Amino acid sequence: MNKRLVMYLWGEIIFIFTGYMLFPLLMTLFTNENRIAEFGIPVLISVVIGAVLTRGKNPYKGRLSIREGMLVISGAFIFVCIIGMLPFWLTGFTFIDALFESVSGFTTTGASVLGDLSLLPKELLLWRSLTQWLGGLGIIMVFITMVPQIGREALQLFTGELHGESAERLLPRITETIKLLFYFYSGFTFFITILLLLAGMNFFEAINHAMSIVSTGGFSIYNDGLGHFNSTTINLIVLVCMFVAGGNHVLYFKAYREGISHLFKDTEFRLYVALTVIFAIFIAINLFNNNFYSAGGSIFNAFFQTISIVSTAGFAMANYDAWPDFSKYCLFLLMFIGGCSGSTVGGIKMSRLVVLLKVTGAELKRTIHPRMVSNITMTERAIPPRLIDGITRFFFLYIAVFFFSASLLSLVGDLSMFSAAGIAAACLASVGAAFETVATIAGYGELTAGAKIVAMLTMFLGRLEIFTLLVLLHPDFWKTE
Amino acid sequence: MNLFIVLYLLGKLSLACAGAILVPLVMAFYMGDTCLEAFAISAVLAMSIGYIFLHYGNSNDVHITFREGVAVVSGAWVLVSFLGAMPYYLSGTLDFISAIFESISGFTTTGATAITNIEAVAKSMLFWRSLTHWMGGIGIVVLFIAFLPNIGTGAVHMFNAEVTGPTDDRVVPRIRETSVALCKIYIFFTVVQAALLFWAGMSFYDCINHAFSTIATGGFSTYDNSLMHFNSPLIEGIIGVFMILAGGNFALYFSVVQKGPREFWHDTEFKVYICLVVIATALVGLNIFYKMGFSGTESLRHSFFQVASIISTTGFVSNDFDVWPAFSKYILVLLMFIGACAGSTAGGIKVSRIVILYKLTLAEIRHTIHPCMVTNISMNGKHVPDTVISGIGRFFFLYMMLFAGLTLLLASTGLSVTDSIGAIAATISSVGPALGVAGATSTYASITPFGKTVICIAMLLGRLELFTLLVLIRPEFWRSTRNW
Repeated sequence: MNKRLVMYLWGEIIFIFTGYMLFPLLMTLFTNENRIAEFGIPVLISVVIGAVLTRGKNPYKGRLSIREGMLVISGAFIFVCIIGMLPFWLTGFTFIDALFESVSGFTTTGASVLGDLSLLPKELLLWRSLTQWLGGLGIIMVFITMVPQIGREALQLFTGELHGESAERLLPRITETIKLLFYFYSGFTFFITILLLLAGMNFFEAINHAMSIVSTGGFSIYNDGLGHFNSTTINLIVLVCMFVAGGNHVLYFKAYREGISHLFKDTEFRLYVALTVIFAIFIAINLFNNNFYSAGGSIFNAFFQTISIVSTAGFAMANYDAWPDFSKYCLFLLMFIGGCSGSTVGGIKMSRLVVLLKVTGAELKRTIHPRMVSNITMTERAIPPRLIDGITRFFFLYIAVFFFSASLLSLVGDLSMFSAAGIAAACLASVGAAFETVATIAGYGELTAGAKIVAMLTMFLGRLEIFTLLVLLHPDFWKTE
Repeated sequence: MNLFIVLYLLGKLSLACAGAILVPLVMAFYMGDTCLEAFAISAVLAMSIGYIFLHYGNSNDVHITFREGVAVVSGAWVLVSFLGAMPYYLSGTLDFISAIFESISGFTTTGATAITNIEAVAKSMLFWRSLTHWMGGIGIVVLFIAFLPNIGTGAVHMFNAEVTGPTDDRVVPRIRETSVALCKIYIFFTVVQAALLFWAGMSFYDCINHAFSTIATGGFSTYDNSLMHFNSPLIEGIIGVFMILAGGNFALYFSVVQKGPREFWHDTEFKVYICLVVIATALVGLNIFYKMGFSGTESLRHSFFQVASIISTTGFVSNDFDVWPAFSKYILVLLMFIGACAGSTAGGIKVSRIVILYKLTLAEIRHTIHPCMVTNISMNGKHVPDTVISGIGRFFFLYMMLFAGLTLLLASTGLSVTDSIGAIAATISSVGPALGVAGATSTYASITPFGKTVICIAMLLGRLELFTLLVLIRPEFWRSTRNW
């Protein structure tokens, strides 16, 4: 393993990250000068660490190996979370709370332990939203750019163009893709900000919520979240933007370049739309039958909450914890599903679900015709058997980690079964808001320290798609070749 | 598909079912129970259905392929569940849906009951309940293959469609002899356990019923509060050990008989199974020791019994685990999903599948590190073929998906989330008692008829391991066969 290269890349990432930390630092200069230290110290620390790690010159030679790639991703994530917690820690929160908030932000989960947000300085709130935005950006970059180095098959799920091409020809395209994705991500944030401004938010509110939406995070800057505005227009904007943010970003480019019909030819996107509509209708009927809202209100509430959960953002428009159990169970299931791959969502993801559903159908057919050879295709592309195996194993591991985390939470957090299951599912899929104790994202503050640690690890595992982190724990990973 | 042979076999089966109903009929006659009539009508009904089927069926062309095998097994379970429900319904013990529910719960060895006051029900009726467990445990069709006509080579398809586990492991080359061997072990265990329970102080009637229920990993008891009625550590110990035995692979016992007890330690699945029991007992024991205020021995007693009862998917209750801490309940729910060994009478995903899934996950991790590596999965030193491996991954997904879907249907009847999850987890893996409304000390009686139907489907799907029933809904299954 090329340790110099890994360290160099860590240093680079930390530098980029420090650049973004300058925003809240600048803000303190204008608003609240005696708080400069809260951001000044972390910036200094990360600059020093970055400088030490990079040590001036780029030792980049050839390609990253798989192991190096995994180490870069996981290590950078840990670095960033630790540096990102410093502003919270220096403000006076406990170590665990500060780390939790940082991890929750960078994993775009949106679970909060800070308590009363109205007491917090504005630059800290901005930093909170920024952690999500950066986390989301990192995820999109990493899983589109590093994934081909880690397992090229997985990339086929995102972009059909790369199928069968050699690594040399892949590289320039990737650089291009990265740029486009960065522009899209930033542009989309800007666009949402404008929309929210027009809908009546002030600039600070708009930019914070826009960052939270585009990264499917879920942090708000008010204790009562979107309820603070009490505006149907805002809720409608958030609803639509969350849905868009949960779709495959690469696909949007394709649709932009080659016509909107591509959007609806894509199997994953079709399933995304279909499941969202089906679940929303289920919930709407259930809400209406139980006299919670008028017909229109039921539909609006159902769609909002369904999209909020399936895109793993976790915003809440109403107190859905009071909804009937059937609706809550629907939302619980949606947490496992998650949105499309190639976006910032967590969960199992639509593309995997498509493959799993098709494979199961094929298995039933194979039971009838034992010698049948079945091909699994997605959007007219064949999925290689290796990838299918990987997906079924991922599914098993996902469920296993969920069970493990939920039972551990019930033990150390003294939680009821459903509450523990909700937290485990919400953290694993980076949703944030769950049920009962944590029905609002601020509820995480009431958990015990042990439960916070378990929740934090769960978010971490979920965000790194479990395998990335588990690979690091395998002794083979550290053996020299 | 050759429907005639299917009809013929189902007819024979129906007659056999009539024969089985004669046992409680005779019992009711001697005891002077009120439900004599109900049994008599049921037996006549079963017999007439049997003769009608035999009349239209035809056994001349004994060529059973995979399709006929699946059709016979699925048909057999539906038919037998219907016939088995008749005594409950005709005697007025239960309404129609509940009667079907009780019968399916019996044959699938689930042990979920819709009867609220068990002690008020006639003894012959309770015996019928236990008998359905016992017949369903070994497998209706396996019993049939063992004792009824020689149906030729096609029996293998019927055997495979019913016997649990990812691979078919036959103890002897021929299916008929395998079935006979399995039945012998099954009967041997039943007799030994009944004798031990009698020695421990149960009445003759109770010990027969509980032996039937244990060895089939069913869970019907003759008392409302299950084994809490006896409150005897000795009885709980005997039943606990036999539950664990009943959850083991019967094919393994056969090879133990032939090759000696060393075989136990050559079998990965059995070792993992025992380890799971030990670990779960320790975790639950510690948890209830600290949280519930039980004494040391009491925590051990209850945790061992409850863990054995749930992992073997029996569902006897020695202490109301519904009031235990959430962590203990999580462990128990997890055990419900895992279930016991393949080739046993238990339900659930099965330990062997979990072992293979675990090995696959490790292999996947190593594969990520060394992308060109070829990984071989082996179990008990034998290579597991690729089709079996991919089948297991898909089975797991299907199991979870059906679990989620059925829970959704059950929740639509207004049940709470925890209750619906518990009820479906407990019935799809044929455990029985769940959490909350259908918990350890209550019954399924309060669930709506629609909810009961959903649970019936869950039980049948779980017992026949999903695919056997689900292939029936594929159009390919019904398309006429072409001979290549």
